[in-house]
Amino acid sequence: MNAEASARVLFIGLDGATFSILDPLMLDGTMPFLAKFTAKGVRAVLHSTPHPLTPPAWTSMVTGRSPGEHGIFDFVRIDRRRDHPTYTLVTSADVRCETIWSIASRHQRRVISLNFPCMFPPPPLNGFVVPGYVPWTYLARAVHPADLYKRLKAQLALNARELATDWNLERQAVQGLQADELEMWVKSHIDKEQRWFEVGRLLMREEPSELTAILFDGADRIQHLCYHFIDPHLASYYPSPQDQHIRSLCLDYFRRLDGFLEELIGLAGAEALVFIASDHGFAAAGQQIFYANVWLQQQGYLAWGEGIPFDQAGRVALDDHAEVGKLFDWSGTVAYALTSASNGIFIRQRRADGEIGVPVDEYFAFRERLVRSLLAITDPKTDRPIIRQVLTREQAFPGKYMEQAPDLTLLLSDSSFLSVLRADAPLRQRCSPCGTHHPDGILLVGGPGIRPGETLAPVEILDVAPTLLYGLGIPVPSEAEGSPVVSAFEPSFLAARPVSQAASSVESESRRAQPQETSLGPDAEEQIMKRLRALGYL
Amino acid sequence: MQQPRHRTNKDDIYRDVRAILLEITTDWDAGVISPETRLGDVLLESISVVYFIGDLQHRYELQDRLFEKLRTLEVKITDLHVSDVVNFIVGIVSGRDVTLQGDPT
Repeated sequence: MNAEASARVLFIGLDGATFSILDPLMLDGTMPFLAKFTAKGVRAVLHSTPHPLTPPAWTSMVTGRSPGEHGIFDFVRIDRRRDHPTYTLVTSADVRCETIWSIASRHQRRVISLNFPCMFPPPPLNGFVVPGYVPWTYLARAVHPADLYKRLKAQLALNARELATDWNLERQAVQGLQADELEMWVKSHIDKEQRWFEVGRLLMREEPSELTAILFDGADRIQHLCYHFIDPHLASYYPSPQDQHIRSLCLDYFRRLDGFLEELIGLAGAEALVFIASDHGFAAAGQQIFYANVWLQQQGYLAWGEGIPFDQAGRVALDDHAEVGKLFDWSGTVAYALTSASNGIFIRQRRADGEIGVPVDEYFAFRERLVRSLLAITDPKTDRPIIRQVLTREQAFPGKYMEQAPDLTLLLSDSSFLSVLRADAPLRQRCSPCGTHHPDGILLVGGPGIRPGETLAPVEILDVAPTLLYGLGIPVPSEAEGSPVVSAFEPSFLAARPVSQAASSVESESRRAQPQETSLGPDAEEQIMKRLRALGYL
Repeated sequence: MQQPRHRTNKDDIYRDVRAILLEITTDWDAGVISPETRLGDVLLESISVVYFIGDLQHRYELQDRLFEKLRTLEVKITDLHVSDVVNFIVGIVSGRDVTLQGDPT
């Protein structure tokens, strides 16, 4: 691979993939291709964003910028300009930096982007986009170029419902699934991945592009509900035939995924650089749920709205028909957790007479007291801290858009998500085992010039985009916060293709000048809330 | 997804909005789409109405003004009619206030 223009990169995202699951599956023969691929290339733990969550993490992965710079902190953007907060679904317009696809397009490379978040409305790239997180009923309008949907339907007999998100099913899942429903859940994601694979395969065959990126997100969805069946250290605690049946289905998911990887990487060709990465890892959540707003109420910082019921089901999210903003009596609330996904606490500041909140000049002292109090919370059964770390937004999300981030981000000791609901105590027993995001994701790289069989020191998620651009022979923008992972490459490769840096990317400057307030109306917010509840994040 | 055409004529915008709805509903029979059609009846899933409104804002470069307008109304987003959406766009583009079921004033 020597001519820059001919350099090809295949970037495969595996949402939530973690070595604690993949390594045993590679060893036991469930994922033989991935085992061979890993043996021939490099592997590294990939450190996620400070709070490992899908939208900010993938956006950091594909921009090389941290959340404070790209502006994505959660599934929603929270507008605090009014007397109480409102929500906005994050879209591609909220991403304030250039993505790898945009940069590559600007350098006359053709690109394919399949199933990545924050890609709707699809940017007018030099290539093909099918965004992720789009409801199936809107998929026909969500693709780029506009005729791609008809083409996929004609050539693949594509049914949008099989490819895109079915929020009705997701809503059912977050309410808890019975054993027979778990089977349906896993199977639905096997089918969905099959369809994304078919789309990727078609485009790779018929529209070979310099940068092809496809995200498989089934591992995340399945692990949220079935992690305890998959992790070999936990699976032995679930020996019933039904449990083993679910485990078998989960392993079938990974077995099929291995086949998809083999075929896609084969299609990319021996000259392609191949990157496989996850936005975060996974782990088993602990047995306790932290009800952050209950604790805030006990501290005198929050008032519940009238008649707000107590959660008895060990949930982190509201059901389908309620809105989190209506949980609180805003006249008595100065600090609150709004979304489970963000693990964030927001502090209201009193900027004018008559407003509710902490006086501006007391903000930092108030916040510091809150941090100390949060860190002092312990599990009465074990006397261990519930919260491992509390990050201020200056610590977690420094950057131009930091003001949009939660004032505090809680990293719980078991990496789980907090609950925004009302309960009779700040800590309650979780009703059923589940998986949760872990900050350690994966990075695997293979192809020409890659050092074989190497395990690298942990890599930062901000390093992935610069490395992908380097692989494409494109100069790394000067504002990139990470660097190409040069340790993945053979010295001779690096000598032949030294890393080059470009001036500031073009689009990011123009985006910064755009008005970004795109709040949705109250009814729209309700719909967004439904969507996020369906994922179990609110 | 096509680029915005910056149309400001009400009839043009209606034709444009209707064409978008026909494109979205290519996989199912949404019936006749007219100015009186209720969005919730066409788009099946309420989340799709959110995408539709966001899509129109992007298409007509309305920033957040269409959702801001909806925020002021006591109506569910799925209960909006095609004519409401068209009128709101016309009103925003022309700088005039619009009420539900009404023309720009």
